[in-house]
Amino acid sequence: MRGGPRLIAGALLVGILVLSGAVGPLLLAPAARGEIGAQSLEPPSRSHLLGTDNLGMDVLERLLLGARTSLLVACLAVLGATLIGASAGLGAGLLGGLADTAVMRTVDYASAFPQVMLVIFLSTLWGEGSVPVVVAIIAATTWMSTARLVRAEVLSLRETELLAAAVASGASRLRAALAHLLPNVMGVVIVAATLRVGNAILLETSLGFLGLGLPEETPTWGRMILDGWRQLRSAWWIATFPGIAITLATVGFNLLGDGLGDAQRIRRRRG
Amino acid sequence: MLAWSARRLAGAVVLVVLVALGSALVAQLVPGDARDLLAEGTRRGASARAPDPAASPWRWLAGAARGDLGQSLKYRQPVAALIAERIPRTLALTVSGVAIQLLVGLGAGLVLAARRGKWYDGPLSSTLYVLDAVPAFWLGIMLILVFAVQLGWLPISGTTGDPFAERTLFEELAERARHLVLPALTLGLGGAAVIARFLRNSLLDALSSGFVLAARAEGIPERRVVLRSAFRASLLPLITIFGLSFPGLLGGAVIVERVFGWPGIGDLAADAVFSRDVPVIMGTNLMFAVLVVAGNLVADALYAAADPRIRLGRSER
Repeated sequence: MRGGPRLIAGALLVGILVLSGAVGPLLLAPAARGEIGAQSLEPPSRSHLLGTDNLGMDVLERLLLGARTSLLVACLAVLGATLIGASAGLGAGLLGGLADTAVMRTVDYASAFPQVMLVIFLSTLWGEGSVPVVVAIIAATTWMSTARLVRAEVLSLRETELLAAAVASGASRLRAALAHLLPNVMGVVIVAATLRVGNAILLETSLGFLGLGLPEETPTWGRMILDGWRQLRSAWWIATFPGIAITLATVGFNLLGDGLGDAQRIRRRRG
Repeated sequence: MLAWSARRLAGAVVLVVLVALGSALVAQLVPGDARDLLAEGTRRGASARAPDPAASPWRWLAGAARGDLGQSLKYRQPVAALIAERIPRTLALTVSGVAIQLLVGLGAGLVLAARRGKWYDGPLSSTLYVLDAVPAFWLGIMLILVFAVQLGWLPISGTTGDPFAERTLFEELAERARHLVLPALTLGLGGAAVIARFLRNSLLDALSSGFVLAARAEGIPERRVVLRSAFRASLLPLITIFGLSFPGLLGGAVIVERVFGWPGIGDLAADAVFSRDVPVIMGTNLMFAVLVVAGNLVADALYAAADPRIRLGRSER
């Protein structure tokens, strides 16, 4: 698969982020690490490239640790949302009738609602979350578009010879669907999922900014911006850098998704 | 037209009732401590007959139908009154956000399509791509940092200046407008980027199609070709995008109100989560559902205005 510029730029950006989250914290010189109570609210300098926060912790180190949490939560949430959405869409498209109506009404109903409100509502129920809880909350509020997409794809493929041929050669309908429909739907689903990672990052960090989401001790980008917002007059750097990180991550995944979509369209056109 | 409107309206009412019922049922799952708090509030005589959502979703629903959303645990006031007090501020914020979204979005989209290939096409398109990815709360904080903290041009937060200062009506309005600028920009710019990118692409598609070629061949000036022929073709999907952006806009209002200390219903809802004020959460939830549904109705009405097929009831496929 030949990639366009968007695919390459996106893959690079996401790769760099994942890599810096994975090994970045290990590479920091011990001197660059912050120490609680040491030098709080230090502006960016040679020893602390992005400054220190109100507790004297190094902003760069928190940022790298936050990359782990934010990327992990976002990717897991998208995985969950994709699984829920794809099964719902597959079921609705294949079964049709009442099941179809029920699923699609639920989708309409759930997507008519502000995502942030749903997330807030659910976090009240579950209280201060661990990673699985936040993942579940985001997945539960974002699966709808995948369900719509997969259903539409299944409906357009259902009437082609693809399924009829499989059933005629003795496969059960379920087997035919899983073995022949699913691979054909996968492409669009992967593109859509990649494009949703950015949205999941935004939701997770919004939750952190509102002080919901993950507990205070966990380094997350949203929580850092909340801390920085409280110190905005004395320390601009605490809120500024995590926001740049969120934007870069979101742009990276959007570019990757758009790039994958471009590549797919080119391949389809070539036949 | 009448039948179409009636059907849409009935659907909207059903949706609101479903949301209300859903949130009442889900509130039953709220962990024990919140319910104890709620029971305590009732015992202290805050309101003896306030519907207890954790006890009976049906009673809450019946109350909601009469406009009684129960009693706030934190403020010890009727939830309906709390919401009524804050809703004008949320509406002012959202409407200005929509205005900026449309103005900036349509403007940038039109410029990019009409002046395609100019030197600023690339940078402006990239800026819009990035703007779409910027988290609203951070954008708000950065705007505060630059325009309020550093430059001191605009206020940091709140809806108006010193409450005890003497001001004429005009000065008061100006003061309120000054406070509205940054929150409205924060709320509107993200959506503006989406609209601009979409409009640019759909206009470029339209500009290379047959009817535009025909219009050009007739000697109609380029400006009119873009504004009349091409823009018209992009209008319907544009309304769809606008309608779909509505829930996100209201969700954004929750965050923006938080950042700018704007005492609207989003701020009320977020605050209620911390104090586990279940009646307020349910009430604001319901209010948001009503606003989203109202927004969708507006989008539907625009759709009908733009497309006679829908207006005349021939949209059934």
